[in-house]
Amino acid sequence: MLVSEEPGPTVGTGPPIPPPGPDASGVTVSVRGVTRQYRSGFVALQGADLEIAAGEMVALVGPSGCGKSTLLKIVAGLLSATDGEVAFGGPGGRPEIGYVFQDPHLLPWRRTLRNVELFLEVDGMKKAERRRRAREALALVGLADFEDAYPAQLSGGMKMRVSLARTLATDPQLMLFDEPFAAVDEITRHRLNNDLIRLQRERHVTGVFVTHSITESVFLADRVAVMSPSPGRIVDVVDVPFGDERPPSLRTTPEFAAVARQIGEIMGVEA
Amino acid sequence: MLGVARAVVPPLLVFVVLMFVWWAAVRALQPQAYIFPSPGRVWEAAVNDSDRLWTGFRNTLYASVVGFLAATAVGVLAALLLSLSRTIERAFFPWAVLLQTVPAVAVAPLFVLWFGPGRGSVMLVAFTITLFPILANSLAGLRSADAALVDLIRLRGRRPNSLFTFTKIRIPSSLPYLFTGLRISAGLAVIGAIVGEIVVGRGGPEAGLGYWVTFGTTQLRTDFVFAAIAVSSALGITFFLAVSAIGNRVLRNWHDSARDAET
Repeated sequence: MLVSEEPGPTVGTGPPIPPPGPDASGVTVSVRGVTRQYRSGFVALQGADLEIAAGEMVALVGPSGCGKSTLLKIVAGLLSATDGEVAFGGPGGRPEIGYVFQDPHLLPWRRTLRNVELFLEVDGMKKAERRRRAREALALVGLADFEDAYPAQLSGGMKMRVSLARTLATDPQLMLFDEPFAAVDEITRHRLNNDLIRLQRERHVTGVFVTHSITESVFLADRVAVMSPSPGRIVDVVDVPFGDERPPSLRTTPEFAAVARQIGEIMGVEA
Repeated sequence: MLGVARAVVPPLLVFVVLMFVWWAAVRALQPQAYIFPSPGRVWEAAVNDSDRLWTGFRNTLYASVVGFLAATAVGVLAALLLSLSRTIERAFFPWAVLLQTVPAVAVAPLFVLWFGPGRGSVMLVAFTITLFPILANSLAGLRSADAALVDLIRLRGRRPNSLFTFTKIRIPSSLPYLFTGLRISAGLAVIGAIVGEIVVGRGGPEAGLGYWVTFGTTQLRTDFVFAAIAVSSALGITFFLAVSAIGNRVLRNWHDSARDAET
């Protein structure tokens, strides 16, 4: 079944399941006909349309090569689209965007606190202020006691938390996650996801989460955009009816399994 | 204590065995002393001519250090320039590689011709031979910076070639590579200086170990030649170890913790 998402003009006009609390300060994202074609003729992404509401979390799920990371990079501005456009709505001009990669990308010669300060330093923020914000962000990810550690002294999961804190410190209005926890073990990944969903819901940050894990997408997202390769495109968008309350036990409920199965069927992997 | 013993005892044992083999072979075969002297004769020659060896050591050290430092300055600056753009790199790097293939022994006489048979020419040979490893390694290091991080910084409005990106990301990332280049060049600098001294061939107060090797050979004082060669090796090793120690020190403290602590 190939159901394209409804071409609703703007966000918040009423998808069947109400999105998380409407937030005037939130950022909306409109992806319209975004295409990315390489000179070789290879189409990484074909006419992607997606409307993301303020404070909503959308997951992009699909196998390797379906263009999900390409779409995320185009939204971030790391790549340019060969066709189509990405527009942001909400207060101010271009929103503050936080981007979290699969790997932590920390500076090995800097202690945790100084790593978290990096982007604030880029912005030219005063030292005292940036230190305060970095400490705050470290507390949010539960690493307040590790501000003097070097990356080499931290576990893989802790490094990802530092990377997340570095992004949170910039107070992003839109957070983009590029398979951020793919490289950590299952248990750590669950923990990180529990923390992530709490942070995102509390702050009403708009988010886009790229993953190849169906359960991860259902746990985190309000809507799941299912993608398929060659050419990469969005084949369907599935609503996830769990609202803002996402206790870890949600993963074992029949409702959760039903949504996961529905996505699996669309992907053709019959969960 | 045990760790030091473990590191020092095995090579020392090998040294003692080799000395014994040398001594025993000379004793058994009885070669002419000017063909192959015994370790005892080499030691005697070193002690008798310790003045020459000592000033030679200092002169060669001086020439190789100056050549090495000049090559470090020029090599790092050139690497910074080449790292600014792929086009500049493509235009100049092949010529740097070509320069590297020119044998130092072959150009040394030209330096003497152009700049006279003095210290300057010796330093220039040391400089020429040490430049490339420093340049190539610094360039690789500057290129090794985390591309994703540079991208994220670009999103915040700092170009990949901005001063910020260089001082906070690229240059620190390049330090391990730079020190690899410096370690290679430390040993090469001494070789370059000695080649230079052999070609310059001038005695007097500026005579280095290379000159004494040539001098000893023409006089058939093979024991003294052996001593001068041993001192040259010792100089090279000392230089290498000194640069390694500085590198380890810097890389252990390259964490900017000390510089940027609480204020």
